Amino acid sequence: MNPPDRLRRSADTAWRRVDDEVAVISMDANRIRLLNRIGSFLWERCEGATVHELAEAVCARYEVDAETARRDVDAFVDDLRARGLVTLEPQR
Amino acid sequence: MSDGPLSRYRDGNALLRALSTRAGVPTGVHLQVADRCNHTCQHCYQVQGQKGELSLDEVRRVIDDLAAQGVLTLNVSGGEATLRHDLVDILLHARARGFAVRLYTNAFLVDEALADRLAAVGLHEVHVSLYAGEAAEHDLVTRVPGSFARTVDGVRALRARNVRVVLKCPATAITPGGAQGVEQLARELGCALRTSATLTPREDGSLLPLDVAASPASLVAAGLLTPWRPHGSEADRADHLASGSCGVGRSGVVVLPNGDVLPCTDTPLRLGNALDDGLAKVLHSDNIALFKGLTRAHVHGCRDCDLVAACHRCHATALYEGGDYLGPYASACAHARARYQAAVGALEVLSPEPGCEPTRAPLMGPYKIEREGQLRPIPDLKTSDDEALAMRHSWIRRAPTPRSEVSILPASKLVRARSRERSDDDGSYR
Repeated sequence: MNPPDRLRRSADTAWRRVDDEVAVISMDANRIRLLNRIGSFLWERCEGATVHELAEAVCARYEVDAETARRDVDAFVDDLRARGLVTLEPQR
Repeated sequence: MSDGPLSRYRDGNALLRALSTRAGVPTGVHLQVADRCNHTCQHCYQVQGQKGELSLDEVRRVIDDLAAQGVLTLNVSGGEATLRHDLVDILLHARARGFAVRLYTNAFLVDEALADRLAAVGLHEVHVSLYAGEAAEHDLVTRVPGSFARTVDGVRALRARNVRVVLKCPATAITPGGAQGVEQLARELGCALRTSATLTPREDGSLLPLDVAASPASLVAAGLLTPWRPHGSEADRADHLASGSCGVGRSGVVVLPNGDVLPCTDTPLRLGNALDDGLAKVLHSDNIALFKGLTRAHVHGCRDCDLVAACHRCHATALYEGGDYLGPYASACAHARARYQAAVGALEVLSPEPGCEPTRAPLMGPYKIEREGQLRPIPDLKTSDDEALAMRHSWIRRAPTPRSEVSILPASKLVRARSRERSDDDGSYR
């Protein structure tokens, strides 16, 4: 069985935590987006992480069951990938 | 996470301004890295060659500090930034620290080799100044024969590498067809276009750049000043007055080539030095506090004017032209009148109301709209709060710069305390 893929932020992004939220600029699309508290929590931890590891981090930090956390993280990662902000890459 | 963890604002600049206000630090910084230029543009606000430049290592330290303060967007400019041999090293360092980096340049030195290196940096955008769609007019502004051809070649080289380019074209009286010409060129080259209707005084206070400003009527004809007539409710007006007219010192600051930090390129207040004082101290100094809460309601006279929503004022121009950073000034009034006139047709400025200052320039505001197409100048009322603010920040009032005066600040005001000598190895200053 292959190890799970790991997330990589796109080289085309620039981002900063400003106060309690993360602002992400997608330079190619010339768009800026603001992540909410949990989105910011995930963004700061996503580089090199698996989706499973992110869901575990959410469970550890917030009062949420594993199934809900996994579903929400999946949806969040799908959204980021659709916008070209992250990629999922196989582990070498 | 059902409330949408990733939201997109329609207006990214508004988002950055809101974030800056909330965080209490600017999210955007204009980093000037070169105190020299290969053009001598007639309208330029800069005075070159008197500040000195930081070395590559010093610029890197400033960039590190900006990242630590939470700054997200970095505009790297000069003078002409490409005159630094280590420019690409600076840009790569900024990208490595996570900034969205824009390069401001005249692209005169952007050949195929430099375009390759710039494309590899991963810049957000390159902003290129272009003043007309044909060589004679553009070169008249830059006073460098052949500059149009080289700038356009530079833009082509960047576009061939898929670098996003924004052509910037300020209107001047010596380039009457400039905006239309550059617009056509932007389409041909696949560039965005940003035009502007206003010029600003030189950083030493001279009003010479304004001598080549386009007339309000020509700006209306070119579509750079749009027709305006009163609309909206009293609540809209209150909202407008409660907002800032620009991001000076709030959503952005400027770091000069010698590391000095200003609230904007034009406001003559040294907040500190990025290297000597550290940005944490500079960005939270008492001096910068004024700008964080600055709104249109702080501008006496203008806050009472019926044309306030038509006005695109610049506080720094107000200081040099009218002698008061937070007061009315004639060229902004002329632009506001032109916008109103463009909407209503004929415009008459009536005799001033009793109580108007006898020293006020003819036709200048603030105004009330007596009836459509008729403006009456009204008194420019200052409150005790205005006077207290001016006492606390004495630099916000000064004698206006006489028109056409060639004023050069004493070198002591422009030269950095710590002298820097040019190094022979990399062309930068240490």
